[in-house]
Amino acid sequence: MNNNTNNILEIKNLKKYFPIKSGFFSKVSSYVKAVDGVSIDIEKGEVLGLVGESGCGKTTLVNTVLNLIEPTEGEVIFDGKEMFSLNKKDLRDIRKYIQIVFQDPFWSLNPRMLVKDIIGEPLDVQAGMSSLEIVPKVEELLEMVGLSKEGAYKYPHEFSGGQRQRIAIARALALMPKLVVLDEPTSSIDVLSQAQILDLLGKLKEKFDLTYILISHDLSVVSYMSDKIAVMYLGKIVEYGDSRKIFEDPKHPYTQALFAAIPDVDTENIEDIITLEGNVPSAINPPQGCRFHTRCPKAIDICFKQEPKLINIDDERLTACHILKS
Amino acid sequence: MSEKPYLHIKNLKINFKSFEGEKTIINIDEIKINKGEAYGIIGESGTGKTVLALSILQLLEMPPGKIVNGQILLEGEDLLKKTQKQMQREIRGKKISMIFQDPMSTLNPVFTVGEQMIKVIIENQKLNKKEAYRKAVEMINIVKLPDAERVMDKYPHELSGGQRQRVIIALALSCGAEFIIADEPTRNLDVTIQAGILKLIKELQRNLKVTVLFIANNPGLISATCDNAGVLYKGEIIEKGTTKEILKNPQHPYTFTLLNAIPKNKDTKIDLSKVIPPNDGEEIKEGCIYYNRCLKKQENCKKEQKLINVKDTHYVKCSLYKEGVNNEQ
Repeated sequence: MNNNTNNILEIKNLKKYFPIKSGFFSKVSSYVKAVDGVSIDIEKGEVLGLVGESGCGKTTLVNTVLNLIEPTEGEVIFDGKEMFSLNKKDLRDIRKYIQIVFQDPFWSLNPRMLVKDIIGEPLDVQAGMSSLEIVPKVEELLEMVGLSKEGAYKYPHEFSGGQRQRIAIARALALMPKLVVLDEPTSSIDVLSQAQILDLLGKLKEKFDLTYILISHDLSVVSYMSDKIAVMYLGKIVEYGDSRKIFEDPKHPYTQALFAAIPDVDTENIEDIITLEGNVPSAINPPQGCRFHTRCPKAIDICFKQEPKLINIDDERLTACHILKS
Repeated sequence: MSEKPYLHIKNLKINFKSFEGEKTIINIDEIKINKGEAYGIIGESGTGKTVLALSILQLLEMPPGKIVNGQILLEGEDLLKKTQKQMQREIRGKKISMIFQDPMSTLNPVFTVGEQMIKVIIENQKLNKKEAYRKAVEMINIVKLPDAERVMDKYPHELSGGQRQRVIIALALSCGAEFIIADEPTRNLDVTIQAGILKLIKELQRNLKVTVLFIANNPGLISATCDNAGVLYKGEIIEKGTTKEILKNPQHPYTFTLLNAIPKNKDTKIDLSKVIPPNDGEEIKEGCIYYNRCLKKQENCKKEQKLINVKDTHYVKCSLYKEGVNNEQ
């Protein structure tokens, strides 16, 4: 991954280990390696889809990037600034430009606050706007996400799931961010609202020149939205590259298995679905060698001993697999 | 469909009482499920899928629920005429079992898997503890959990989501149920785990000849597992037929919309104008349930709708089609 001034976010060898304490003196006995050496560059205006089973470290990666938790090792460079060496004030300034939309709009919006306060809070705290300035701005934001401005004086429970997610999006966009993290933005709403939300996100991206990191386990959503995708398994990226190419022709055995596990309307026989045997191994003691070898149908001798490196196998595609080397 | 259906739901209408008055939640003309088949119900959240499932087992809380009319015939016997006691003694667990969507809250966290299974087996069958234990182990083997004896000693929290769902399926089958209602059994599960559960349910249906009513909001799940299916919208079956026919050749405007709203890939953009109907359309009291959101509405839609046979076993509840006319589009 070359140095490119177009990159809005550069993640370099990021690691996050959570210590496990045991015994009387809470001695650290081992670590959960939630994110273990991840490097990704995200260009301005790009949508990066992050895919993987639960527990593979997607959310930890994003939380570390947002500087919500401290990394064990590695660098994150956002818009030319190294995030982890910033002082408190600079960090606060930079946080304006990174926002997040959470999975469940029923939990992420405070039920006791009016919508105008929910969306207005970042404007007050970060932009220092007076309450007179905030109301018209909130109304403008509401209309931008397709809600009527009367909604400003309602409570979250008066809205449906899809509408609430629009409020969450309006809040995320209030400060004109550059990077928006979408953590399962449509997983708790139904298909029709999902189509509308995806359309809205696409339009807002064009309008404000946003960059998205999209986390989802619904691969159809990821394939619809993303330019690049990164497939994670046990804290590591196993395949990364152009979204179209990977969806057309996944190379890594894990990616292949993941894609084949999902039935869609064209699946007529249960036999067309391929199941991966076993569960995701524990991240406390990840398997030796390639982390996927315990479930990999194509594992060969070397996979048990040596950890594969993430290498280029064709233009703009990286995989970490011994079989794909040759 | 000349043979007698195993489960036959006829003119079922269920109302719910609230402060604003009574509201019809379920209004189903007919669902026929044959013995040994897997039948799918596709519907979004809030369309009454779970209410339907609960009403079959008479587990619906009444009030607020109220069955206005209709019959649910299981092998010719009307389940709605049975008392709660009869249901408990004869039907629940022995003939019909249900798999709920959240495996975490269906198992009791303070008892081991073994204790819970043995309790259920002893209560329903005349077996002593040893026999019940053996039976439980046998059931765990059927659902393909390795190390059955060890699983028996575990507490629910020690199992993963997929394993828990397998335990629940074992529990559902342990008293000889021949009909399983699976209400979104793979919700909250990872896709790789989901695939395993789907395969298990399909195997049970094929090998043990269990009849399955599979409820899901993802048409893909129904497509992979079921032979026949119905589309539920606001409590009404608006389209039914073979799964293939419904999903490949949807006739009702709603089914069409639903299938087209699923994102496919980057190059096929969802055309919102074709998919998303204006939400603020005129509400009508009678007539088509989909009227206010329909893109193809016409004057006829305000009359009461009937299920119309468009092809073989394919039925649609829409006034765009007429009985006995070639409705091929």
